[in-house]
Amino acid sequence: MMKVNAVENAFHPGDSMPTSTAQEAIDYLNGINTLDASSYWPNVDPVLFLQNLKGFTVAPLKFYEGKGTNFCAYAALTYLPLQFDPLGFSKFMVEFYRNGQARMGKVMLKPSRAVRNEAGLIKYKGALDIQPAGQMWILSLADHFKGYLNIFNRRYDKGDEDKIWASTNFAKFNRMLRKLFLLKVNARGADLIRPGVGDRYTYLKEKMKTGTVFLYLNNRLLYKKDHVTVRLGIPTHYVALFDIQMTENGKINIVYWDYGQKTLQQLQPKFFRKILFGVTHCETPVK
Amino acid sequence: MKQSINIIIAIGFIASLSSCAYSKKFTASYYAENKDLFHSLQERYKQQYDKQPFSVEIKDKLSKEVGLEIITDSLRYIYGLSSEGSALTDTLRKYGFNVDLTMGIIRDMQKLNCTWLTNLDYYDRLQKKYTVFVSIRHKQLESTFKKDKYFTLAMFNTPQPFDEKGRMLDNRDRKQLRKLNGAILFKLDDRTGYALTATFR
Repeated sequence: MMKVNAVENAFHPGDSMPTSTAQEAIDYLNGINTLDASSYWPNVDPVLFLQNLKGFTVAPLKFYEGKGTNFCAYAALTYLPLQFDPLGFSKFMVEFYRNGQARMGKVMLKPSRAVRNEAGLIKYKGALDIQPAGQMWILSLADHFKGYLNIFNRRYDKGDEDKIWASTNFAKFNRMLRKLFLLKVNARGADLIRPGVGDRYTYLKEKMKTGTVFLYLNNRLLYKKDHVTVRLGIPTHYVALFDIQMTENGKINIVYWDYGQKTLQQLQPKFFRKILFGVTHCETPVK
Repeated sequence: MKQSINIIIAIGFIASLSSCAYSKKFTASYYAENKDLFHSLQERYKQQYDKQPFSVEIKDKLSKEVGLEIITDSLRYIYGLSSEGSALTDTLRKYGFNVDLTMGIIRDMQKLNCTWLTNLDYYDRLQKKYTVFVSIRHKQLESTFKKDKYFTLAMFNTPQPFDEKGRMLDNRDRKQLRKLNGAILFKLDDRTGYALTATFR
């Protein structure tokens, strides 16, 4: 694992991602006695905002992308700051709330007015409804980072969270990781081509020893939502991989994180090969 | 040639209109015919869910494959099991389910052509609430011209507000339509709404 010296928090440009503990983040947030309502985020209540940030610190895996949205990529990468630098993330978010813009890594996030007005208003998306800070963060990432999938819908309009405006191709996902968190990122695979990494199980098992692994999957097959018999063989979903095991009968157990929970699912190796299109490995800091 | 294309378009349009009308008739009559069984399913499901949260999927038309999602404090387990043999009951027993109760739920799902049963969370005035959510896959809803192939039912614990067109409203903001799973719900009775959807969950 890459060794990281403790550096100033809040992801200012540097050589690597800083680290902090949940307790440091809680102490920092508890130290903010009052937070004035921000004119930049007219629909984000400051009390709810702080509660939300504390919630992320205490239970980072409850971070939720919202039902039916195209926010899975942004939620998946949020695992990194919440897990490795909750203090930096909290400081960033407070500055972001107060000033309507803030820097993370190499990126100056300065969201459009449409996005700032929408944060806090997204409804009927499950737990995302009560996560105004989550809405601010995710909407701003989608507003800032663009890939080829976003060419025909670059400006936010109400309801775009479910549409191609929010979608993320594999190159964009990896670019976000590099720019936001200053990590060494190694990616294999592509939007339409499966990764040439040989035995998936062995490769992933090895990669997990040295950092955090994200998978780019065909979720229409992994978690079917209809009974269509002919499906496009394309990836649609990002998850953080937490564990992978081979069972005695040759099946693969994967534990992954998405939608605010960890899931264990058993797959046939052939099926796993079919649905896996991208593997991203980040050399994450030592806690 | 141009005339033929126009005729094909017209036939397609008429077919789609008639299938929409038929779907609405189907939803009302299907619910009325099976209302008692739906609400019995709701009660028994909640009874077991309170002890061990779970969701059930009937994966195939012959009801031979059952998907079981068991939600614990730390992990959601997704199983694909045969309804024949002992794998399903063994799994239920392992997690401390009331096996007879749960197998009864699954059998009734098969009778009702349910493909998905879950407790869906939603937020009302910042409070987390649940509704029992059921998706029905029925051959009468399947059509080449329609994308909405599932009759989804949301059974709430308390009466819900509806507008004059029978659309469910947000409890907090009575001018806003409430969506569940991305769909607007229509009234079946004061605690039950339905939608026709392209996906079952």
